Amino acid sequence: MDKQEMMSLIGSVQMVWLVVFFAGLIVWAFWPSRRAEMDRNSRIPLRDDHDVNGR
Amino acid sequence: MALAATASGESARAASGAVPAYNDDVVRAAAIATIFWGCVGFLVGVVIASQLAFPVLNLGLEWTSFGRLRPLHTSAVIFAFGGNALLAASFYIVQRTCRTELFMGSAGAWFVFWGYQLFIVMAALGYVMGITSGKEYAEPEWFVDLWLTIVWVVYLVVYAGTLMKRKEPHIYVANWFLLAFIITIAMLHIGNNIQLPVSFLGWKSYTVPSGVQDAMIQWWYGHNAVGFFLTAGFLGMMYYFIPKAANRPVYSYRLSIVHFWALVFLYIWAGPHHLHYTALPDWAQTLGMTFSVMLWMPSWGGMINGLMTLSGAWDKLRTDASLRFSVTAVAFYGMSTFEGPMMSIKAVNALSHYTDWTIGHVHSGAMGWVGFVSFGMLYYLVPVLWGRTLYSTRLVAWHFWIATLGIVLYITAMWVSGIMQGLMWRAYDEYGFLQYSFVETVAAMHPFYVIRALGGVLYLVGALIMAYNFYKTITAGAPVRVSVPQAAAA
Repeated sequence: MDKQEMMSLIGSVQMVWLVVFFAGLIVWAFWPSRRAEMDRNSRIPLRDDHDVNGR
Repeated sequence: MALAATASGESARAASGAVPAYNDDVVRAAAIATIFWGCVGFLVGVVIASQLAFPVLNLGLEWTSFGRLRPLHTSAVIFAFGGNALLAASFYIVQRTCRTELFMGSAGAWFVFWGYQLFIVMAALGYVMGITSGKEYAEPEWFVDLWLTIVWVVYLVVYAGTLMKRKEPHIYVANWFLLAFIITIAMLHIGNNIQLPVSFLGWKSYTVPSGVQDAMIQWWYGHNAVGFFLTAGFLGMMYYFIPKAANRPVYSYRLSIVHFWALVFLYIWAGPHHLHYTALPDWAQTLGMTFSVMLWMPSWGGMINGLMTLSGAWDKLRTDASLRFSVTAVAFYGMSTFEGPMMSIKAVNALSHYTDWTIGHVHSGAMGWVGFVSFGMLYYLVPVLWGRTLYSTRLVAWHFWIATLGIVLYITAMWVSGIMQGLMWRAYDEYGFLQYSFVETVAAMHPFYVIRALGGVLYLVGALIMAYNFYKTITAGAPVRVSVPQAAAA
């Protein structure tokens, strides 16, 4: 396999990998049983109000 | 079960007063530096806009000529104003959302802060004295680049170290954007500045790649500076400060995850749209255009996520200083991320490239999105950091409307001037000759240059009002025990 073929193979593998990763990510993020966990994570900034030095 | 454990652990910590001793001194310093460099950067912008309208203002001196002051303006606004806003945001957000103080304590963060200010001053002095690599938004020469690399690596260590010692199990999404910003800027900065000094200890250097390769690397850097410095970093700001000021969680946390990955995957490929119709191979231009158009989707996904966070709390726009700016910023973000992909289409770019339209586009993003989202953060942060109520909400309204009017004048003037310029350049007469000489296009743009400079003056005046308001807040504002500013503002 020469350099040209190898680069083209790497390009194809990369593209497939990114598409699979991204599709998997969407499924993961929107999986119904993950709703409660996601809602909890979204509230992280709202639970940090204990400010510095007792203010 | 895990939730109960977390919640009870937290309330126990809060009740016992065992809250982390957050390192906020450096955040205060970065907030002040943001305000200071903002005013400097906007002032230099007004100067160079006036020079374009009235060339006599170049003063006939090399140090005050447009060519030397222009990088001073862009760097002051992007790297000094924007960079300090990001330092303040990242150090504040990472501590709060990780419930822990900074890794390496204050020392690491102070090194980053002062090291970064030194970088700014070295770069700025260099531009005025004519020490420049000539690469847009990467003008600092090799010795300044090396210094920034050291500072940036310490920044990454402080930030990632804080994430690693977090008490909160999950890393909140704002941190993802901020970490992507820090890592990618390190990669871009090093990749675009592989250079060799011409002489031993001389300041002049040249990049190792040359020709179209150098151009492609430069715009891979240039557009991702937009994507990861001016977008990802400030989206981190949006994902923390809008929920905070609105006191409601982000509209969809799931969308924010998809937003993040889509944005970082796509942005990195968009650079070639800066090199349409150049020596860059055609396939690379088309690739850059395609990815730029695809970027429209994550951009608008993020915009919708930010705006919909306000759903049910729109009334706060009338009373909350911070939200007024941040939400308008997100609207400008939506507008300029629609305009950008459109301008990356080769047929549109054939008209828009090299004209003022590009300048207008950049400024709707920089003044509307980056500037306003930073002002929104400051109006939230200054009262919280100094524990005082905001001095005047009327002055906030003045700042908001004057600055908004300034942006509108600026971008409409540049649209008209840019499209006119592009059309005049391509106009032919009945014999096939170019209809206008270059100087005729310059003369035709004069009134729009004056309007643009006026828009810049308004934006600067707004920022000065903000600076005065913060000065009075810090020195004379009423102390508060509550850390939520809108309680006092309302």
